[in-house]
Amino acid sequence: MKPTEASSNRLAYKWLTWCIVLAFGYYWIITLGLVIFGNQVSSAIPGQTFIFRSFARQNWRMFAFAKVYNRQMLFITRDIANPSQSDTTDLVQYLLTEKRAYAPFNNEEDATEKILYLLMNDVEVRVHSHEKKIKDTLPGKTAAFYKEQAIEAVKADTAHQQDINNILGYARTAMQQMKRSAAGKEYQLIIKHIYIPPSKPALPVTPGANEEILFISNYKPL
Amino acid sequence: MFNLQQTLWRLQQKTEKAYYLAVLRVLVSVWFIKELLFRWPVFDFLYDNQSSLKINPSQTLAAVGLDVFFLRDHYMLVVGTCLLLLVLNIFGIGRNIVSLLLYLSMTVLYHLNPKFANSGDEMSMLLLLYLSFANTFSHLVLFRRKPFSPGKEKVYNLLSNLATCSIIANLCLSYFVAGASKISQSYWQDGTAIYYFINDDRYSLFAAGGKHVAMPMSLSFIIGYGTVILELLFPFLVFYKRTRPIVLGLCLLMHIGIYSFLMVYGMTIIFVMQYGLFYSNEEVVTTAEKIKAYLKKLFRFAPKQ
Repeated sequence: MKPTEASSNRLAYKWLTWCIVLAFGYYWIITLGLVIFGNQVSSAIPGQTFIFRSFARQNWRMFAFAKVYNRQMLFITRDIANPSQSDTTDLVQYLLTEKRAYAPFNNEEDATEKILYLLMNDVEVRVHSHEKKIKDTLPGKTAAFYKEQAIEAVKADTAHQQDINNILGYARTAMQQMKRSAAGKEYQLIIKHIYIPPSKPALPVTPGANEEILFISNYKPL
Repeated sequence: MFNLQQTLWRLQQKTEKAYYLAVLRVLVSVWFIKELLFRWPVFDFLYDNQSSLKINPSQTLAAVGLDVFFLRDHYMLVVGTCLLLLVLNIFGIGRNIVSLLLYLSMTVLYHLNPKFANSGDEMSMLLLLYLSFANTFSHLVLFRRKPFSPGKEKVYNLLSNLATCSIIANLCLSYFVAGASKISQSYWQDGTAIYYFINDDRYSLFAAGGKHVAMPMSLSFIIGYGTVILELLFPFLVFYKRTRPIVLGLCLLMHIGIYSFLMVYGMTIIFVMQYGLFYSNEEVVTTAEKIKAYLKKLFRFAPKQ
């Protein structure tokens, strides 16, 4: 014989059913709103956006933004006593080589590479923000002038050096992995964009013309 | 005409797609174990307070009253809890409570360092969330579950079926938004996006060391527009029986391309894993029976007496 349920239980289950349906409907309205109209919805309901992004984060702009450049992060080390003795490592290529070598089981290298990439993004954002500020205060100068001044401003901004310190921390780890000594050495960090040649180049690309220095640090003790 | 009462009644009768939900529970748990084990060597770099990597603590953990610095000091405890819950989840021990705890502990781990998460991580976390409400325990469990009282069972079926609908809807949404985001970008519009991705040394297997890869622009154009059209049409064509195998086949081909040439592994697997939910329980069970029979035949070493 099938078990029967008290009428109070049946009523409770009926209410529960409607609560579940309402919660489901509410979740999907917020989900669609935030995924499709992210900025408008998040400014209208910041509290719920915070909860949503904490527990059900969604960003589906997969491969939407094609990059027209590759990055280089040159880590130059040289003897403090004998500056002509220097060594240059492209940290991006070092990590990408590792990532390729261990593919498809490269979660370790992939996670590190993603972090390094985001750190370079942070530096890039800071350079561009300073560049814009300088352009606004000193209009009519050359692009090279703005870039140089912006890089100097980033270097002078000692309160916001966490991204560069993180990169330096990774560089030290990479040097240990490559069994290179850091004793008595100083370093310089250069971040570059190497532009991918356009699919149909209008003019032949001259060597070096497809490069852009994004950031260059002073030599500092390692 | 859509009738809400009738739909609710139907959703309360039984857990639909029960077999594949069980398969999905096992697959997702195994996938997470693989991710954790292969990330193991860099855990100290990613999570430890003493790491050279200093990142701003997540506001989420602080908002729910968790001490981020304590958790970072004891990150192996979090990882250990996740692994234990994953193993329990594979065997269906603890059922939805373990599934929910697993989702919460993976969320804590995610927020200890959300910097390196990608679309695959986001999709897998959503899957864990939805599966924690679903009845994934009808098959592939160590101990069979006893049905609840009829009223409770109906509510459980409804919850499970809504969770399944959410997984399907989220997959459709992700493809559609990906297609719509691409078409609004200039490189996808002029058909050169694939050329730039193939030359992006972060992703491309061909562009190792910044090597330039030449490719016919017509090919870049066809693949680019093909991808966008496929992603935009996915939510509409996948529900028709005739077009379903074609759409899923083409999406599988697209993911094989991403997996093989663009070094994006986790995301590819987690997306493809969900395709089984587009088939009915009967179709999945029949296919599983066929696979079982084939494997039995393949591994029969001695003739039957």
